[in-house]
Amino acid sequence: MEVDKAEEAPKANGATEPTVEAPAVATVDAKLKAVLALVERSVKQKDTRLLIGRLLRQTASVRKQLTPSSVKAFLQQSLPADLESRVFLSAHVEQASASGMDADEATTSPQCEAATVIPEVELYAYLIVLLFLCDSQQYKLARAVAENAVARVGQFNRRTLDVIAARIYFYYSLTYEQMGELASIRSALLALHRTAVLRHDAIGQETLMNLLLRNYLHYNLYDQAEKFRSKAQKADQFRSGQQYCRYLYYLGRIRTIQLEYTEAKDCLQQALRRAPTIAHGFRITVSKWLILVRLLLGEIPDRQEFAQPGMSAALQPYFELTQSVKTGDTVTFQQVAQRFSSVFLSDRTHNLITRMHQNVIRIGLRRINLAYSRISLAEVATKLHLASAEDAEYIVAKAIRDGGIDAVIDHDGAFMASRERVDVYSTAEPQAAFHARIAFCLDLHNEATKAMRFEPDAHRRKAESSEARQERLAAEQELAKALEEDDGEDF
Amino acid sequence: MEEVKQDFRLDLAQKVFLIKTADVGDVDREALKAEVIATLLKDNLSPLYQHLATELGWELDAAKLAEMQAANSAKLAKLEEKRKDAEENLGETEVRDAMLAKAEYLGSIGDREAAVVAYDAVEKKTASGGALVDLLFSQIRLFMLYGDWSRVKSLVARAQTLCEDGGDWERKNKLKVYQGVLALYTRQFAAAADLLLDSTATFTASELFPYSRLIFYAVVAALPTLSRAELKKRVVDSPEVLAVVHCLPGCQPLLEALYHCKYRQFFTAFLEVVGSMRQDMLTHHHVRHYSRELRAVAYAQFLESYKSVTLESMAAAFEVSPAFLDAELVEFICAGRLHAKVRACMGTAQIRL
Repeated sequence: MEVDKAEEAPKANGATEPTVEAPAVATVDAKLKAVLALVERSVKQKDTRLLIGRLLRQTASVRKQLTPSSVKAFLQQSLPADLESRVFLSAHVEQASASGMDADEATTSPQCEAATVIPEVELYAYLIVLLFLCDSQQYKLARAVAENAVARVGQFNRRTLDVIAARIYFYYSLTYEQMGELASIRSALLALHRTAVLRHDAIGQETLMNLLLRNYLHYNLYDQAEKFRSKAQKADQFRSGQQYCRYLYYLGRIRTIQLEYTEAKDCLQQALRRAPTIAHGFRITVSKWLILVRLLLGEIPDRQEFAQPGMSAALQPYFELTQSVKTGDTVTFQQVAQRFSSVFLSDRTHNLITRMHQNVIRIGLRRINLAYSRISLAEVATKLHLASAEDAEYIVAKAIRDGGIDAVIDHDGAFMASRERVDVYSTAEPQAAFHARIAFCLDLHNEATKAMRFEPDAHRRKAESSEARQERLAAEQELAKALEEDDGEDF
Repeated sequence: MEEVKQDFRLDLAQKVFLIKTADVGDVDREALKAEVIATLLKDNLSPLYQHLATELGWELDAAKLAEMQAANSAKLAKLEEKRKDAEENLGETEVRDAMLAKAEYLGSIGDREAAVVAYDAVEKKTASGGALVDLLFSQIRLFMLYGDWSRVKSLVARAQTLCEDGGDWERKNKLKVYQGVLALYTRQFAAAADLLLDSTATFTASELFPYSRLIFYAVVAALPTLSRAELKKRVVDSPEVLAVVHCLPGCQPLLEALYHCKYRQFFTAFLEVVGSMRQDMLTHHHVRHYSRELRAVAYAQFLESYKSVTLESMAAAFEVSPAFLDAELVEFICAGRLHAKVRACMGTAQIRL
């Protein structure tokens, strides 16, 4: 499960030598100042959408370059000196830097001019400190900051604060998870979720629901997770793509454990498709679960799925497992499962592997059915390493009943004969296949239509002048470019 | 035209490959290692020595290395001198020749990056398309030595565009051979067969390998991919192939077995051919795939003439045990290569289509 976070922690902390820092600090400074200006502007316009988009993207780009001195400089600049949060945060940054880095130079940055700041700026400062501490793996300090942050957020009821608050909740849960104390915050998260629902805080709702699901699944409380998920109020449209991705993944896992493999496969496939390409850890985990669900459904995943760039090493045990399942040989399957048991245990997919024994036999049976038009049950037993011909008969009978293979058993002659292969186009199969595909495309179309958003004042706007039009086109281009650079860093 | 000697780098590459690959039996690795080291020392191939030492885990003799590097730099200095001299006193062609000499020297000692830079410089001075293509060929051989096949691929693509724009026939034929080799390495047996069989009549690229080797690759690539009519026309009846094939181990019997349906000798010949494939650096990785393909072709061909045949008689035809054949058939039927079904009852088995 840790891989879910691993994908977000950038590879290197921006720790350069202090002497080279002066120019780096300046650019970080400039970026953070720009972000603050953005925050203030959007609060004035009460435009939360702008917050969600550009704020988070810019934060993501700044994140890698944060160092203790730059964070301190930022704190000094943005928060008024007498605000207790600033004292608290600076102390923590000091602690963090004392434990890791070399001595800072005395940065002479401008002190904060304003006497008070809007809560968004203050909580954004909290967020920056949290990001910095988490990235430098100092989770104890981060936890203290997160607790404080959540308490502070609770004192406000502003919709413009929602996005930043949602991020803070995420890091709150993350720090507790890293310290191994997830269970203790469960009630707090539930309370926060209730509040978010009451206040129609959509992004908060989504984030908290995912955090709670993760909490339950961490301790394998699948029943509770499902109960929570079914009873909690959700919006029909998820605002944040990344939250939806996560939600689908957790849902897929719940469905797998509940033995509803078709639904699980659906959810996991969607999660994989929607995941941003740079979210490697997430994609690897989802792929692993998807492979196992497909094997449990009786279909063998293609070789291409294992050969994706960056994922092939992690998926290697699963590839070998798939190969042993494909041959339908229980002996090799057991051997492979034994060999990689530590990997499966650490991935927490071990119990799924144990469920697969039956599937291996079923697949072996299918191969025999394909190759032999008639074969004695004793031979079936030897080929599948079953105990006796009787066992084989029972298993074959069950498989025929379940629709896994197309055959008849002749009990007196003690053999199994496959039925004549009928022309598939005379059955209803092609129609069903077409129907499924068409339904998928239409669903996609409908969802896209429903997800379109229009500006609330569009119908009232007069015809725009040419400058306004150019401005709008330029803004749209910038947005498109920024969207292209994958923002998997966000959540 | 007299046959050019094989580029010593490819010979070296083959030896290094044999040393590196653990699962090739019957190979005296110590002797090969001694040979390789002797060649390295004789010609002062210091970059290659370093590269191989790290890759194969040999201990690096620092003194020898220093010696070799000194010899290299001395030679390079001399070549630089010549080039400067040519620039000042002689004409363009001499300058180019001097630069080419330098590039070739760098290529021959195995210094990849410097060689590429030097070759690029020569390219700028080269006008004729044919000479350009020759330069590309030398670079390709250099990269084959290092096993850097992605570079080889890009260089072959460049050479192809150059030849299409206007190259003489000799270069085009050579290019075919290089492309065939690349296809063989990347498991595109059909393309490889096509290219290599085409170039049997006009083979001039013996710096890659001798003629007999070309025929070996061509036949090996052709067997699982060509239809029977094509096989007869281009391989069985081809005078070039017939001239050489008897000295290649196992090829002639395998060809006969497959074409003239002498299945009894199929497996023995097959094992011989696969053995020599395993020892060759271009085909080693494809042995498993190749053996599956060839077996599928053989079984499918056998079953084509029957409506139903007992497992025993088929096993007798191929001179294998019925149990072995049973397992094979199940595998190929499930993979969809054979359109047949086995009907096993009362101890005997019948294969029905």
